[in-house]
Amino acid sequence: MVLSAQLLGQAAVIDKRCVAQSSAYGPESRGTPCRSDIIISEQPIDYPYVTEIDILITLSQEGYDNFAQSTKESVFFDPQLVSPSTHPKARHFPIPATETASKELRTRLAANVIILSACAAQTALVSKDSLTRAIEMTLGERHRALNLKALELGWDLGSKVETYA
Amino acid sequence: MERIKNILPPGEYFFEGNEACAEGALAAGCRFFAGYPISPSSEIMERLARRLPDVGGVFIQMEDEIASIGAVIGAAWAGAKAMTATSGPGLTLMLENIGYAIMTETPCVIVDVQRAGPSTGQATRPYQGDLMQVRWGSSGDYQIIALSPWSVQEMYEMMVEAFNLAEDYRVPVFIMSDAAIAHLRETCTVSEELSISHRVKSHGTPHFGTEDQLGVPPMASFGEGEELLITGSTHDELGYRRTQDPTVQKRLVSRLSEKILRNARDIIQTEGYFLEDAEVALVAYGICARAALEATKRAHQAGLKVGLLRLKTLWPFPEEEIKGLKVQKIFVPEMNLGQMVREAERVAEVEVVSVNRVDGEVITPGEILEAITT
Repeated sequence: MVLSAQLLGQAAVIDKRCVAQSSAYGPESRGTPCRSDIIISEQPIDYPYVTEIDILITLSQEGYDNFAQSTKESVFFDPQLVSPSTHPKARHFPIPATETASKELRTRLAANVIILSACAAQTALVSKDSLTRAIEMTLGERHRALNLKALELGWDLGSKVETYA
Repeated sequence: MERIKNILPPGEYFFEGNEACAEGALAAGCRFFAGYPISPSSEIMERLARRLPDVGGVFIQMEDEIASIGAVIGAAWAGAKAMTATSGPGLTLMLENIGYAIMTETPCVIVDVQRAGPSTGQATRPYQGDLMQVRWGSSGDYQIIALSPWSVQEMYEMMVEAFNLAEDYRVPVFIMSDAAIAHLRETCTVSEELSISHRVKSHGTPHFGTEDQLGVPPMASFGEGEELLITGSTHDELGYRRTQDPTVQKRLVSRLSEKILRNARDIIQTEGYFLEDAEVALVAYGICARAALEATKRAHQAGLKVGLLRLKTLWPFPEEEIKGLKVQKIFVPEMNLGQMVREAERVAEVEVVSVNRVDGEVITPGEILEAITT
């Protein structure tokens, strides 16, 4: 999730927006939930931490339970990992990121970029070109091709996804 | 000051604070780093380990912290612009040699990425606990310069300022960062050119005294043919040990302080927000000031006359700026139990109230606003 937030932030910087991104995790918490905050703004950012969530991307039930109800606009979740509330407040978008990653890319590791790309496609937070460049700039050669494929798969899912009823 | 071309191509970068710190140092002309890894500062040395060889510089991971600052002092006397980076517990281990750097007037930059303490405390959590450690940690009377960035952009720019101030005043300059700024990733605009100070040289003149009794002497390097004696003991302007001479001790200790204090007006930088008609002022620095600015804006929306004095320079302390606040009350939000508030109380002419957060989390605008309004 930290990498996804970094890629989203880098893409927004390429789009000439102001960005602040932070992560809540530590060396002692590998394998436990981790969270990344990102603010994208046309104006300089005063307080760099998220106080009200507009958009939530979650790959874990715990993340969903903690933050979905206070999310104002959209929740992107992986239906394989998260059972959403029966009375969702924000618009909900199911993105089968883990399943797609396993099937199409033979690794679950790319699920984060798939769901990020789906979110970007659906919300127009950043352009596809910028996200592509962000992946090229941020990732080493070993991971670049895989994540660029994940971007394509996610963009496709995000463009076609219907709101969860 | 000289205008030079930046070694990093100009543009918009998405750095975390520690990366911006390393890049700012390189831009400023830093060509030597010695350090010992410690969270939350380690990315500074990781980046410099990769980048310094690119620019003809030297990186050394030392055996511990006191050796690190020792190597930095040696590099400075060999002519390099040099730095180290650590966190509060590591800084404690450097203090003996920091005193030596102060006494020998060795220009260097020490980045303190503060974490919650005391002792090893919380390795990854932000805190503002070292304000007094950098000021008073070593023995004797002296002045140092300390700056505190509130953003990634400012971290980058402040590294250049820190190296310039270190050269201008021949003094260790501290950058007071913290775990929050260190790992915050933000837009950082890198300019094409920047201004840097060069070391002042003067062949054949003393290296520890000037005609002006309170001035900053020129500084030679080893290998330039100058006669150099460097000691942490009381010394005259030529560097000779004079530990039994009251006049020499008095002159030296006075100059070490006054070379900074009498230039305080040039050194100190602050920023004011909404202070013109404020009845209440917040005084804050570092990441805390980001929350304070947001709190100030929210207070304005609610019709409250609140302003913010943001300190970029922490030492020498911006006494005149705080004394000059035309308000009825001052609030000092800090991520500690109240360190800067004592300094503010010392100089302010109105009531000063401490607002604290000490659980290793970043203070929020809501907490500050609540303190003002209750």
